[in-house]
Amino acid sequence: MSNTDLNVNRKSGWQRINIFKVNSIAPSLVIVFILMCAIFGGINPQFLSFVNFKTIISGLSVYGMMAVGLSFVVLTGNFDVSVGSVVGICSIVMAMMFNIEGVKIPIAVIILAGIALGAFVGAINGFLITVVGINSVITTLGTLAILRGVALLLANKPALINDKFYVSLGRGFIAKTIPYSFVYLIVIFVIAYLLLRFTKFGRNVYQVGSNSNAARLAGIPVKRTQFLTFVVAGITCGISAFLMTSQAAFAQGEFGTGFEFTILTIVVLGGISLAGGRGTLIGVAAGLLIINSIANGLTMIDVPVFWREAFNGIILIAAILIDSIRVRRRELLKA
Amino acid sequence: MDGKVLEKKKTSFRLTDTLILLIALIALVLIFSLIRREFFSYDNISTMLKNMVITGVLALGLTPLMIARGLDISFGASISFSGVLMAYLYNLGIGLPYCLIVGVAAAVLVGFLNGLLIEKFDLIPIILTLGMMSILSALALVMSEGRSLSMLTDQLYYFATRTFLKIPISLFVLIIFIIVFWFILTFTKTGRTIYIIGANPKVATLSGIKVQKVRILLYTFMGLVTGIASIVMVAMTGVGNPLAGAKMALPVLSAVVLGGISLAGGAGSVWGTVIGVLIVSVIFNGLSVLNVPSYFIQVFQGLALILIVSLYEVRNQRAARR
Amino acid sequence: MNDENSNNYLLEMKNITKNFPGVRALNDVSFYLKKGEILGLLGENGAGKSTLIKILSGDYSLEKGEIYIDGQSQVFLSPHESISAGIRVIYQELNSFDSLTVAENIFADNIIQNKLGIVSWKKMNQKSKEILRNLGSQIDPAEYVENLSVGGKQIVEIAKAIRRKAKILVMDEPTSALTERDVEHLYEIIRKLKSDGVSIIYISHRIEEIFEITDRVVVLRDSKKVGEKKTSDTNRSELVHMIVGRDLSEQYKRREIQKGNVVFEVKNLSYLDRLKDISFSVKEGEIVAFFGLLGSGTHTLFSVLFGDKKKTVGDVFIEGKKVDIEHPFTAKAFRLGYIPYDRKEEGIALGLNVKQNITSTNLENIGKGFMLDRNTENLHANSWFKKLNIKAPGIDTPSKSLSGGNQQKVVVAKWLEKDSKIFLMSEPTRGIDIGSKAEIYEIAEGLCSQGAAVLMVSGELPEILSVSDRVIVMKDGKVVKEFITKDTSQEELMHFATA
Repeated sequence: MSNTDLNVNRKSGWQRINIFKVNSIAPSLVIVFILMCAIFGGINPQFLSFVNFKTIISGLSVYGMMAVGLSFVVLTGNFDVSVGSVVGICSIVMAMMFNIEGVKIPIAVIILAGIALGAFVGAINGFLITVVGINSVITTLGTLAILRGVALLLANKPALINDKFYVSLGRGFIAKTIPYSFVYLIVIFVIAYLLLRFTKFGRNVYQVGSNSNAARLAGIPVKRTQFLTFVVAGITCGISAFLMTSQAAFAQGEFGTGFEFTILTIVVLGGISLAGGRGTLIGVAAGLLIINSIANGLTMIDVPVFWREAFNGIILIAAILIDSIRVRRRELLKA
Repeated sequence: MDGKVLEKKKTSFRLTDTLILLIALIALVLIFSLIRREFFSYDNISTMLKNMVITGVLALGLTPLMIARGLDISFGASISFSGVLMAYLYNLGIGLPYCLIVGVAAAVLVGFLNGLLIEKFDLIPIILTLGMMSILSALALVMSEGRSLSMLTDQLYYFATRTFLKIPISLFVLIIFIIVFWFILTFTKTGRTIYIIGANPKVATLSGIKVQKVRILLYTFMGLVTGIASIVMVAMTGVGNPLAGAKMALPVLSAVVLGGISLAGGAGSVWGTVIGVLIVSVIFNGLSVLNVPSYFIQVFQGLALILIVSLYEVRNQRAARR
Repeated sequence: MNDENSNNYLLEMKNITKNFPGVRALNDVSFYLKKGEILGLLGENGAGKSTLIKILSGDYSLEKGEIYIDGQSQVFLSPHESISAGIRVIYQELNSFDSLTVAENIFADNIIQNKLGIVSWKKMNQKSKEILRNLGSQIDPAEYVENLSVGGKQIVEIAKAIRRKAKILVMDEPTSALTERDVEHLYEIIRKLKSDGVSIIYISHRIEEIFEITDRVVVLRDSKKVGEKKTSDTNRSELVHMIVGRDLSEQYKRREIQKGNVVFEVKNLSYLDRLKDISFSVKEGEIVAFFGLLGSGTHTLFSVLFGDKKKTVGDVFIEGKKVDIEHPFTAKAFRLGYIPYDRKEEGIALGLNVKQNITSTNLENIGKGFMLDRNTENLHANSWFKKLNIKAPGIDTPSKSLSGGNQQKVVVAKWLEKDSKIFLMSEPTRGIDIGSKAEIYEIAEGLCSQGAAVLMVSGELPEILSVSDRVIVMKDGKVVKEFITKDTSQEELMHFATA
């Protein structure tokens, strides 16, 4: 008893209500979410309807998967702004594989090829950042441009996908209520959560982000870990591309444009600190739910589309302000 | 052995750095001219230089900011927003000078806000300005309802089309900017302060320099530059286009980084930036003269950025190992 | 001592010599460590303790001499090799993963997985708990390290070392940031480790601790070993004498300087919980030294006085006028000059040349209006360059290529250029050679003879005694006692700083 008192700083009130006990802002996000539901629901009760709930749930998956991948990258203290372009190139390539004349490639091969392409692109990013040593923002800004350019070169008009089964993979429902896409998302979230929490690689991700110097001294493969996070981000982009193309039944070069922004907002809002090493996928899930519900809610209360975009920017800035204030508080506590 | 010998050595080393870029520039010009005679024609060169004005002005604005370890990528959206704002006001029947003043003031305010938030809350510049970018481009779309608003005036048309001694007038804006920035960075106390901050912000603070204040000023100044670039944009296109600046970030950043300014701050010069801008413009123009699809130009730009930064990085690592 | 059978030695370091540019950091130092022994390593700042430890930990390469572990000759090329040989150093700055749990820190480099490669939190927590309980600590393995006190973090570091079956544990000033209760607890842990057969090298300034915990002591001074004793065979005054030992006549001889009015006065200054109710005053022509052990708050005091940290309460008076210094800019305007502790990160901008550093404080006076006048700049910089005898090819030489002593002179020149009158010097002679040291003292005296006042933080008692007029001893963020330098002794100062 006495020793615990001796070695642990007294917790302030807000830490005590930390129900997830992960030093995260998940509890605050839950409160934000409830408030938000109350406001939107108050203005338009339809917002709280089951139909709308289904709409929100269906819309989560593409962003959600990418947010999972980006979380890995940000946890090690890097950025990846190329995720939108990766989705673009993967989508196009997958759609094109459906349209090769005289050849019918099995769907599984196409999906795997798309995911493999995402992983490959992620590996290139990872190579440039960890081996060559270029800043991750500059690198991924470059690949953002390159991949988007290639995607547009490959498809100057939409490439259609005429495969009912493939399309049903994206559009189908279980028992007419739960969309397949939501199931995929849950599966990915669970896998990623387990990966981060219960594998050596996952723990290395946190260690590298928490204190890369200490990680190096402890003999943890810092560069390899960082490299792999970019591959993970690429893989989730590939899966998102599969989902997007199967839901849309076509692909075009513009697919995924500007996604990096929304994804980054979800991740930061979810409490993955830009300084690295801090935050969990539970927070990211909450961030995802909030961002999607806001987008949906703003539509429900008839806010014009461009205003909604402005709102996204405001949320991102609010999220990084909160992140910065939390960092400062910790430093003051340390002093 | 006295200081002068060392001084000379240092400047000659710097020259070789710029020299390499200069040789690259000349080589590019030669290659494009050999492939297509038109490339070196008066018409093409003057078009290229005219198109260079906006990139150049923005790259110059970024130069001192990045030397002092700041960064802004919201300028593209800010150009769109200011342009739309000017055209919107003009279409309401407000006098041209007032429109321009308000447009520039809006950009200045944006720059100031960027600086204030980044410095006071110690934010990562690229993320904050990314957020600002999204807000501004959305606001531009809101105000214009997604359309381009026309803003054709005699004065702006004159500015955009007339030449003086066969040199496009708008190019003089860029030349004036180059001289002003070169002058500030090389000969003034402000310039020196910027380099001191870039060399080590903590040392600068403890030498009694108000680092936050200077940086906020530089962000605000970047806003002013953006506002002026926005006027040039409206003059050249005759419209306030909500997407006018959407794709500016990459070429401008490429030009600056190409010119030798690193994200780590402290180093760089106006001449480096100028050559960087020239190289980016020559690539852009050369490829379009060769009728390469614009998507491919985008690919090429991304490749150039990564390649050049890799080269700098590899060289730095070698130097560090020595 | 050499008659003992060296086969009993767990560790033996023989004839260790290490040079740095311009400084000999270790000169033919030899010592040994037996199994289950606690060896106190004593010496002033700069005596060579940390260099010795860094050679042992593989941070520095071995230049001359030999290291034996269990009688086997060893060469450590990296920290990793030293760790595999069973050596663990717990540094003052703890190298922990703050955002992760205690258990994860303890198992940082060897995460426990089951056969399927799944991380076993249960096992990790359980084993961490065992290790911690063995150390007599009640820390919860699932707690986040950032929620622990410094003492708690230290226990985690010890647990980490034990988990790796460290044979030799080096603790560098482990108590410097601990509360009294934490210190007691740490002693218990150390005794426990000893009984388990772990050997410990214990570095400390605090003589009491040495008697409390060690079996034997080795004293370093001026890069050499000057003494080696069984703790039970020695006493406090003998140790202090060995540590500070130098004959004062060897020291720098100071001039008598006329004192003027009070120019700088501080009343009831506090900063968070790190500085408490500090008051003192300084006269023109006076050199006042601040002495305290690590964590006593001397460095913090200076950064608060210079406006780099914002004071919580209290008043500062300059020439009798109350001033509010909230930024170094204001401090500069009130003619304060600051020579920070961390020269390379805070004092001098290594990317700039000598000239640019010197004039960085005084740009407003280099040329009229907005213009920077190169001629004036060269003139000013050159004049300080010559007056302070800065050894470099010229004022355009990159600061990076200067020796530590000359870099420090550039930092001093910065404030002379600004015509400062009150100088705050944080360890101004840290890590610089003896010749430059003397020059720095001369400069300080020269300033005083022209009516300046110098406040100096120093951890080197001979320096304090030979240079200062008065000494203010600090401990735990408070002023303990003030002395007239000529009426006090090293022993007395050390006594008040540790008591």
